[in-house]
Amino acid sequence: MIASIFIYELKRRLRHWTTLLFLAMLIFQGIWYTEGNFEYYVNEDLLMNSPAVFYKNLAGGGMLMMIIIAIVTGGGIYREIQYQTHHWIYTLPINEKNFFIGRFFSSYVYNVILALGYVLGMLLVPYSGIGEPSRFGPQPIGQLFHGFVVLLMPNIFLLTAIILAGVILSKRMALGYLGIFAAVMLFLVAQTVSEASGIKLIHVLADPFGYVGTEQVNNTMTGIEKNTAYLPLSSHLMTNRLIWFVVAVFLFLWSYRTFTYKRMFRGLKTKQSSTQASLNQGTPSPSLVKLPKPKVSYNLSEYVKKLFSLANLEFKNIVRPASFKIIIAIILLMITLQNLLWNAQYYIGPTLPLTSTMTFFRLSFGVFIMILLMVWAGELFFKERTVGFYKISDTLPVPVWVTQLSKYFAMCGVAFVMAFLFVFLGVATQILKGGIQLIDIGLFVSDLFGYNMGWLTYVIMITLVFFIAGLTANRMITHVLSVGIFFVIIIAFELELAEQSRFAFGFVPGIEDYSELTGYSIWKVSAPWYFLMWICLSIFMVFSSIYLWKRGVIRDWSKKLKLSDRQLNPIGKIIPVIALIGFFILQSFIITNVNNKGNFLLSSKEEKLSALYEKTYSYISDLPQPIYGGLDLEFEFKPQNRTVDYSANATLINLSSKPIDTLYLNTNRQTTMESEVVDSDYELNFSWKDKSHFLSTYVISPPLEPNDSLLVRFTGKKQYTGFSQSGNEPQADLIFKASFGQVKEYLPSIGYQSDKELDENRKRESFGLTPITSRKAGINNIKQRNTHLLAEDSNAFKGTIAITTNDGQIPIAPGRRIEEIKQDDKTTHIYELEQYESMNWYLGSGHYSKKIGQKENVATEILYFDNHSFNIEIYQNALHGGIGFVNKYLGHFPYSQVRLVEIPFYQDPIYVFPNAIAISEKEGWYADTASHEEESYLTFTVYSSLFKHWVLANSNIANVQGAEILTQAIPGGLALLAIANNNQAAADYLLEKKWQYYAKEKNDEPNNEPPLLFADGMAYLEQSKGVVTMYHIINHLGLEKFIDLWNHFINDNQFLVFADFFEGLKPHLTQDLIDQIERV
Amino acid sequence: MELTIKNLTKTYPSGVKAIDDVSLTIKTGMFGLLGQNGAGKTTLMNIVATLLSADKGSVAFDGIDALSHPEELRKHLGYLPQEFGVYPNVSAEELLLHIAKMKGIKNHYDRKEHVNALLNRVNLFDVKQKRLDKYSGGMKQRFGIAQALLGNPRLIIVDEPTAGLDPMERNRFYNLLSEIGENTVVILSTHIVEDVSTLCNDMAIIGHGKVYHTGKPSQIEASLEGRLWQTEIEKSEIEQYKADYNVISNFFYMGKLKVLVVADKKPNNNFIEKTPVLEDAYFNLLQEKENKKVAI
Repeated sequence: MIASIFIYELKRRLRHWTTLLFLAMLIFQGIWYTEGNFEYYVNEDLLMNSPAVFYKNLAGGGMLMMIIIAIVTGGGIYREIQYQTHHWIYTLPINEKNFFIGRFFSSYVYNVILALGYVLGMLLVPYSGIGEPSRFGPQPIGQLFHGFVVLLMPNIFLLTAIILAGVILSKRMALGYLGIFAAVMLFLVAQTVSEASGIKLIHVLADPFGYVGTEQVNNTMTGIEKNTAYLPLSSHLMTNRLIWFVVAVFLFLWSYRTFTYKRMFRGLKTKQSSTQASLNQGTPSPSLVKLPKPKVSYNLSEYVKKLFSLANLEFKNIVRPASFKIIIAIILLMITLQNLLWNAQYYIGPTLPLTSTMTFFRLSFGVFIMILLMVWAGELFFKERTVGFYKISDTLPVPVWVTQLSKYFAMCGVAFVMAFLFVFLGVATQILKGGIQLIDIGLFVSDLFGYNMGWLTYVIMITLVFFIAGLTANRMITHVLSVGIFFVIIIAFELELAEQSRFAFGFVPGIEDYSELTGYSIWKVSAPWYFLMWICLSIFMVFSSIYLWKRGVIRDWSKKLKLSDRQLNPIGKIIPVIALIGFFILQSFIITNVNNKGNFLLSSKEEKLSALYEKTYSYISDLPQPIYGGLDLEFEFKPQNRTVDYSANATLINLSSKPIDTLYLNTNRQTTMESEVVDSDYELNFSWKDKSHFLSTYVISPPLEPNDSLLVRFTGKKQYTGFSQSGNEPQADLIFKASFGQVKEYLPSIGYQSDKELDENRKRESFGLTPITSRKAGINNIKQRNTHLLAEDSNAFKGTIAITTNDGQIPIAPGRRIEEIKQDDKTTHIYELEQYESMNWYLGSGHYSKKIGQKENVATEILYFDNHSFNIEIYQNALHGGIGFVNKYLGHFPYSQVRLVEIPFYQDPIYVFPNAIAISEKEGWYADTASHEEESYLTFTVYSSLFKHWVLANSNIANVQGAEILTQAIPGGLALLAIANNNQAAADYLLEKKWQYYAKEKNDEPNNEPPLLFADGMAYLEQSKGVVTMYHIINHLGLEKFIDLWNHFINDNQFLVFADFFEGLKPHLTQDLIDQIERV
Repeated sequence: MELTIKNLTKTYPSGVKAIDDVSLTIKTGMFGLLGQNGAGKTTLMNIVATLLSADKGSVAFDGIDALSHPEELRKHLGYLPQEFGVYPNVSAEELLLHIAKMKGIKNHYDRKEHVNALLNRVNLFDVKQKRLDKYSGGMKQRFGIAQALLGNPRLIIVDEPTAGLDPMERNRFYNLLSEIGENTVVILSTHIVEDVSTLCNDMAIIGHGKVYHTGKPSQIEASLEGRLWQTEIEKSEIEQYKADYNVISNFFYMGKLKVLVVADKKPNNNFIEKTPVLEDAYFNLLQEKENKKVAI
């Protein structure tokens, strides 16, 4: 009996057309998730079809699979209730337990069969054209089978058990959906929290799908293991699998025990009986009541009134069911938990309860909130059809625009209420976390009601659903298409398969890029235009939806598109046409401002240009070129126009042994520049310019002799016009409130620019370029041994910098500030370089508050964003403590002034340049430093930066392997030592964190991990393993001995190479420490 | 006030010709549309109720072209479909008020009064606050009747209205419909002959998408006067009787099989004359059409 129920049910489902649709969707998902998970690991040798990638795919399951399982599974039991067949099915001579088992396992096996589509998609990736052939190895069939059995099949069993138990418990589908939703939420919370704070046992165990556990195991595997190994079932992962399998079995057994025909029938029958009973009481004599003759009215104002009153009724219909309330309650609970527990910041600890952290959930939960709204919108649109009321409602004398718009407004209302609840909850959580004084209602409103993934974005997505519903007139296709389109947009942009925001329906640039310093910065300029574009398209969609939606029984396409149709009046027909024209005009406007004004290039085009640059101009690297030998710079920031004007008197010196007859100058897209020789025996004549690579050449006549120099005056302007279309292009060197950029963002670079080369070997190979074996020149490269690490085209020199900016802003520049001049509405600061240093300069301008101090002979200054004074004392103590440490143990601090500046998060976490340290806002300015760990981290960042000053000001670092050990690892090691002097526990904590970071990140090494001796500029090496190792070395030697060896080393060498320093250290080190440096 | 259907034809995409050149003129009062399952009644009702478009022909009500101006006809229409669903989360009163609003009753008190009156008339007043998904089949049907009568429509179409009603409720409905039918055009589509004979002053018999016969029920009944004969037979004799006589129906009565035969004179002495009712005329008509089909 069980077999026959099972086989009949399975056959029935498999023969349905939706099976093919679901399989196709899952094949698609298999391909895209493989691509996505492959991109997650940037290891050069990782295969796209590696077991590591497949295991992650199988554990995650994917959103499409979750949705499909949610849609199809419940029918196994619920169908009898839905189609009222329980009246006769339950009377058949079938044992009810056999019935349950047959239906349960047919649902489960059907889900497993659908999941094979997902696996098929993974196997089809090599043939899908999304990766070069070299990215694929033999298909790991065994591992795929292993993952399918260990991860996916138990997960599907769990989901099947959850849904069916929900249906049996409530006799409704809603509880089943809710169960799936809760499981997915649990998975997401475990995954997100583990990503933010590192994987812990609790995250592994709490994840119902074993994804976090799989990720944990994958992180410990080498590249070769990822490509070949079966996933070892660690104790954590095994425990996870066991726990959730037991949960699934429990739900199955509970359902088996609970499912009876009587139980399934009882609820429905009882309700009707009670109604019938009440009906028979006190019935008045019906025929006595006369029917009144009410007045009826049909006119536009009545229709408008009806529109809103119907919207009100529709709204109530949506929010009334218990399932809706439960779902909303779960979402609100999840959001509260996220806001209370989660911190999406860079530094190691928690964040203060800022408003931006309270609205961040809209990004991580946004996908689910929008899917829910889209599904509800689809259900509402087809409500009359679903319940069979359309035969009545479609004959009522109300225009289609009233009925459809009322539903649309109702859905917008539901979304609005959700957004309102989010604001309420955000404010409440912020108060709960003690952040009442930090509440920014404006930000709450703009984030949660605006178009940055707030209410207005929800409205646009609801519009999409209504349009598809009107177009297809099919509920299921509407759900699949609308959610599918939404997923395709998300996945395509996540995987960078699509890059232009103008194709991301409903989204605007910069939604993820809120800065506490600059707000939405430059995206505030572009986002309204994008939003306006989507609004135009939405207007078209809403009107089209009304026009396309036909009442009645049959939908005939030829009649759908009849222009003479009366569903919209002539104005109603013209409006969508105008809106569509508006949409295309805005698309064109955006193309002009984004693409044509040079604010965006497709990455494929950029890569092609980089490859072409290398192929065409690499010969320049062998040509002698002059370098900057002196510079006096005048700079004027005009932040409101995103413009800078500059003039620079640059001394270009020939340090090669050959005369130089051609000067190669590199600028960038937004810069216009002129150059002329000033007061010299030489002439500089423009020769040619490559406009694609912004490379200009000038003939020097007569050729510049060795050791001779010429004084060149560069005058130029950099200005951003148009729009930036994504967070990838923050254009941070010229923004409104806190510009910050390297001097070469504005001034020309000389000679061949190796930083323009492609640095990923995968891509290099695809362009026929030789793979990079090291990202830095070898230690024996003579030219690079005599080149400055931080400015290849610069000698060490002193110079002056005058920066003018708007009144109200404070400039940022290297050097000692020697003068401040206020004139009209401008402020000019003049700086002077105190030491001979290469052109490691950063310039900027921003709205800052200032805190000044003095430590021994050094004036300190902290420039911070107005409201970010939270940790100013810690930063100042760190500055003073670090300067004191340098003066006491390392010699003397090289500058008379030092500035610590807060900068937006768009760039690197920390910049160290003469007299200045720039630290990203997310590195601690609004960290919650209640615990000592966070305070010590802030102290470490400042100490290591000050010690880097000490290193850079006293030496020339050669641009070869190991350079960052000198500039990062040694200052970091010294900083740990300084912290350990006061607090060994804090130092141990930082050491552990750094080692954990190294262990995690080393597996994402895009090429091959070099030993520290040949470290070539990767943060996970120099700033983590390097710092830890140097700390142990300094500790082993003792600080005094180390400094002694260091001083000898810098006195003996004009350019410093770590390998040379290590030779001096080696005799004093243990073999273990030597191995730490020499071996991987 | 009359509904005129001219040369109406409808073929579904599957190729099934549901309505084939149907022409009817329906005046004020109750009009019965009688036909077997699949005869095309519901398709015809759906077209008249603006739910379905026709391939050919016209439907006009009181000067309104229903096919090209369905929105105008809807202002005068009350429709009770054969099968319909309701919103699960609302009460009968709430949904009726909603429909009343959609039917153009602008005054809130008018709506309330009208809805309450109708709820009384269909005997749902006491349970007007109950959620509709908790209604039984008969209660739901009565709700359907109430909504069809909302707004005092001038054209009422009721498709199998008494399905699921107990005899008492059915009786109440008949009374209500008769009362309303005095001033409106009411089309009663059904396969229950008794409904038509009880209520309607005009009727049409429809089969295979065509109109077989139109007229007053009494006239149709009269067509068999003096030609309808009845006798009791053994079960085993039925095939022989069918071969020998024009048997229009057979049925069991008190455990005995009875046959009805149409013949100009008494077939034999075992037969007795029967006073024809509409059902007999209906069976006779269907039998004639069947015979004609076989002959072709």
